[in-house]
Amino acid sequence: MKRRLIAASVLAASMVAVAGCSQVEALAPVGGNHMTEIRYAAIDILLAKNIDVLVAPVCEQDGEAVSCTGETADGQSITVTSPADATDTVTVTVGDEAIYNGKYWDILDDAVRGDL
Amino acid sequence: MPGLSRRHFLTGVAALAAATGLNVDVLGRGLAARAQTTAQTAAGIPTTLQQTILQGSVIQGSYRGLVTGPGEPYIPRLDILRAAPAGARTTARRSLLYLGHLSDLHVIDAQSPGRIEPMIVQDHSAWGSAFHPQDPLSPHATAAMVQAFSDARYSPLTGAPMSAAIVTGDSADMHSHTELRWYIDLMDGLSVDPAYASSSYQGVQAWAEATWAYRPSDPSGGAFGDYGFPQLPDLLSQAIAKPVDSVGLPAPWYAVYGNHDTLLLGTFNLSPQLHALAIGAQKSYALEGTAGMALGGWAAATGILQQAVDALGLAWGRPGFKEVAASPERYLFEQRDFMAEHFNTQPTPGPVGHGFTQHNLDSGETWWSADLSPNVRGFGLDTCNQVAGPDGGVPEVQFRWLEAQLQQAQAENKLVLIFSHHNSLTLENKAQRFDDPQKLYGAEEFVAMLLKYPVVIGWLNGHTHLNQILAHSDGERGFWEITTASCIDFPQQQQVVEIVDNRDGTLSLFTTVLDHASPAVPGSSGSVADLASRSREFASNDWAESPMMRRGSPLDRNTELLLKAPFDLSRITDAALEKQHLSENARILAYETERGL
Repeated sequence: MKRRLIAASVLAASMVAVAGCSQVEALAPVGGNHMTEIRYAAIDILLAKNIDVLVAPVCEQDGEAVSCTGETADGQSITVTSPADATDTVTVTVGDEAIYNGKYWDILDDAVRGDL
Repeated sequence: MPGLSRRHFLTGVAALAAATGLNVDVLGRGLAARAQTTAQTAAGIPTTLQQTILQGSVIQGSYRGLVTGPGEPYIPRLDILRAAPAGARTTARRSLLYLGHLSDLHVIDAQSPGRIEPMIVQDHSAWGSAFHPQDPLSPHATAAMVQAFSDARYSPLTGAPMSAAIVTGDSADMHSHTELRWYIDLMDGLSVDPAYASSSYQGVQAWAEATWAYRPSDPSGGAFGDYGFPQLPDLLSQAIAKPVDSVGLPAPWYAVYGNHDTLLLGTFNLSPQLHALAIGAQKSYALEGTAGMALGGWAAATGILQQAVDALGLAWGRPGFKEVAASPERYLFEQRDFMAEHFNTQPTPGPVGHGFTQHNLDSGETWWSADLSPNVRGFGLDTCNQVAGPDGGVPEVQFRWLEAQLQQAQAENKLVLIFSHHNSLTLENKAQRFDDPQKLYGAEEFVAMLLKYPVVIGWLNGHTHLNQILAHSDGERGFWEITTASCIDFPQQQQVVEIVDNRDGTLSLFTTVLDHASPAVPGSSGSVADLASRSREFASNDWAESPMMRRGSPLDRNTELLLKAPFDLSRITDAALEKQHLSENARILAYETERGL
């Protein structure tokens, strides 16, 4: 275990030294982007509830918080929020009605299993 | 609009017979038959319009299988048009260009000593792309994907022949010349031999010491075994038992750089130690070996003495390494080599250079333009950062070149597609060398520039290994950004894109997702299709890569993306389109004849 920690430390230090920036951060897995996951979950739930979308949710990320806005075919606003203090949750609202409030992973899992 | 006259048809057939080498009578009958059967052919083409692949029930532990699901019809997207489209377009439409889009193939030589798989021991999530359980099956998945494009050589929407294909980067996984060669050969329709260095499998997945890896003969004792990955004693021998045959792409294909074609693992510079390791006879199976040897080259203190010590270590053996068959073919290529290798290719489907030209080799410029048809121009960009990090930017010299090219395309009424590896969510890497101060443009400025030119209708890219379609609009006009998934991570999907004139002042880009040509449930035959299928099943269980989200939503898969036409499309006559399709059909007939399809 000690050797392993030393090796890892040397590696991390060498990366910073060469690039002048944290390459450990750059190693984040491709994709897995929280904003993208929230967007997918929001669209999955909108379509599962047969809501016609004119403008698909366009998302922004502020720190850990994600918010998105869109528009339905009948002119209602779509708002999507995933707050910084509960990043595993998403609330999807059409007009004034919240159509989903819960774990976004539940939606993604159901979608890939054909259960939505 | 009048179509092609009989006289022009016959003249065209004679010229195409000479160009393709096909007999005039055979070609004439084939082209006439194509014209008759277009509608029926389209309905039978295997795509996700007919069938999808979904996650099934648990087989063992947390490990799940895959099952087939219903097909997904096209969903119209109106984000840019902001109005209901005319219903009559469905009967009036005509195909302007039918294009294959591949990306992030990540062709892998899993037995190469130039890999750094043990880094997942340090942090599996951060280093997830260093090792996948399906790594040895990458050539098979790629060949099965090429088969899917061959199967879809006629549009599933209109029956139009495929005009071209674009590969938007990350073709070779670890900068290995072998991987680069395999990718080009698989696109071209040649066989590749995973046993070229050794007739027995030599790699971490065959070694009992590598308990951190998925070892198919005995997965117990590590995280993959705990997850429930299956025991498949014959898998590795099957993976290298036979050369992997590829049918080849059915259309001329073009390529751009990805970050894995630029930096090691798409992120780091190539160290002298790794260059030596890649062609040597020692392969690491332990974190200590990889971090200390393969990645030691990044240490700022690395000097001649350290390199000499490392060379001795390679020659005499080191703890954490095992002996493998060495191959000089595994050398790590340099940036220019990527372009140059694209000139070592087959005459068909071509073109030689695959977008890169002698000018690129002479100048070192890594970007290009090409007319994909008489009416559609493509621009292949290199958005990869040359210094560090996986994400990218648009260097000032390319930004200015592209803007000048777009002004010209706008004046010539050419529809424009932009091709790059990075997408608008990953164009933010500003790492620069001190001696190269040119500006790197990020997504906001790049998109704003593209929006100035209405002839830009689509931007095709990859990088994030997921299906995603974003609308970019200035309120009046806009273009569609289309990101495709990869061939390595689940769902191992690619796509075809068709530009269609709706003859009502709008045009549509139809996106159709392709699964590779393999069954949802793998068999045990050891065939390319069964091994590709197993690759997809492994990928769907590779928890470190967040597999479940990468399919995207239905608005990111099979879609009709509507736009206002940027100019009067009736300028493109039916006769001109028929002439284009005649030529493309003749090319595909020659492809079918050559491959016995």
